[in-house]
Amino acid sequence: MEFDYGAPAAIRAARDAIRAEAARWDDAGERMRAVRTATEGLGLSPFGFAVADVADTGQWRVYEEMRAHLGALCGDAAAEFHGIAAVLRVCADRYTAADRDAVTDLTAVWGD
Amino acid sequence: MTEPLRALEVGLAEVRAEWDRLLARVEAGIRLVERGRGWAGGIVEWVTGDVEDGLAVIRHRLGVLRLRLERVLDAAELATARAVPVLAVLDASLAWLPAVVTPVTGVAAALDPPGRNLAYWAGPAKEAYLDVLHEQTGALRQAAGQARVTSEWLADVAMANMAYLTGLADRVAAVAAALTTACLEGGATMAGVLTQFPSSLQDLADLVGTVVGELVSGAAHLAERLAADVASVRRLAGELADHSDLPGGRWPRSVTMNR
Repeated sequence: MEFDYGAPAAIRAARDAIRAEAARWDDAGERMRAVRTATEGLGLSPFGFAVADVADTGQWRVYEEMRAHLGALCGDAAAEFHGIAAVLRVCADRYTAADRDAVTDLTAVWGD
Repeated sequence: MTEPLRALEVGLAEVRAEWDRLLARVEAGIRLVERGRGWAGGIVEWVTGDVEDGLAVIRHRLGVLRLRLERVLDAAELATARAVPVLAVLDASLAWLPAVVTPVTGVAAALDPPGRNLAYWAGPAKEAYLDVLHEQTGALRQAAGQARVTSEWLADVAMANMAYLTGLADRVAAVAAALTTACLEGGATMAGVLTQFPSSLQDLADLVGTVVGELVSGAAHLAERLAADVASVRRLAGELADHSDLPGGRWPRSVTMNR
């Protein structure tokens, strides 16, 4: 026998599961924001890359670029994750027996 | 890294103390000869011209030794001053793991696989969500990989500096030992000063000259290692940024709502 996804109990379970999923993304967003903040404390002195008088090979600049890049990525990830959580809540709200079979515009929800 | 640093600081102090001691002995020897030179009949076996030549040789070799020692001391002082920021690089290498690598990997693991109860969700919206999930966790793994590369690179930088610092500490210790045991015999007589000092000073100048050469090639080797490391980290960063998980090095945008 096929599982009846449209049964009221199944719909309720699905909506709860989607909301739980949304909560995971919000939590992930907070964690990524904390990582972003942590990268701000990882700065280094430009003199820390050589104990001898050697030609500058751009070590410090490359490091600062990497740090800034990864910090920005984590910040973008945090924003994205909260956005995904919001979309999932919309999905949960819309997921009813009545319109389960209705075609929704996925692009409108998730974007292109 | 603190161990070679401590050895270096000890060696540096010894070199300075032994150099002062040696300088005092050579100057005393020179004064002895200068006093004797004015004293008629002071030395029968040395004619005045030879005495002048002998003193000139001693002064010249002392000057050469001083210049070479200054280069060793400069390298040691610079390394001592830079050791603290280099230690910070080692600390940062370790700090990247708990600050970035572990939490980002942990976030990916917390999201993927999704909750088991999601099995009750069916339909195209769920499929769209699973695509987003994989896109986002792929990006997380790439970001964690970049952070790991950064951490490993910093560790390589610290190791390369550590190798140089260890070599430098060994050589400074060797110079200190050579100055301590320098065979400035015959300092009690004019003849002794004029015959023994030049060869002792020449031996020291040769030894310190060799050390200077080794330090120059050690610094060049360090520079090469650092340049190779930064080149490889640049290349890796480029490869990671071009990866499809981070298109154009940017975080993938899965959502257009609520922006």
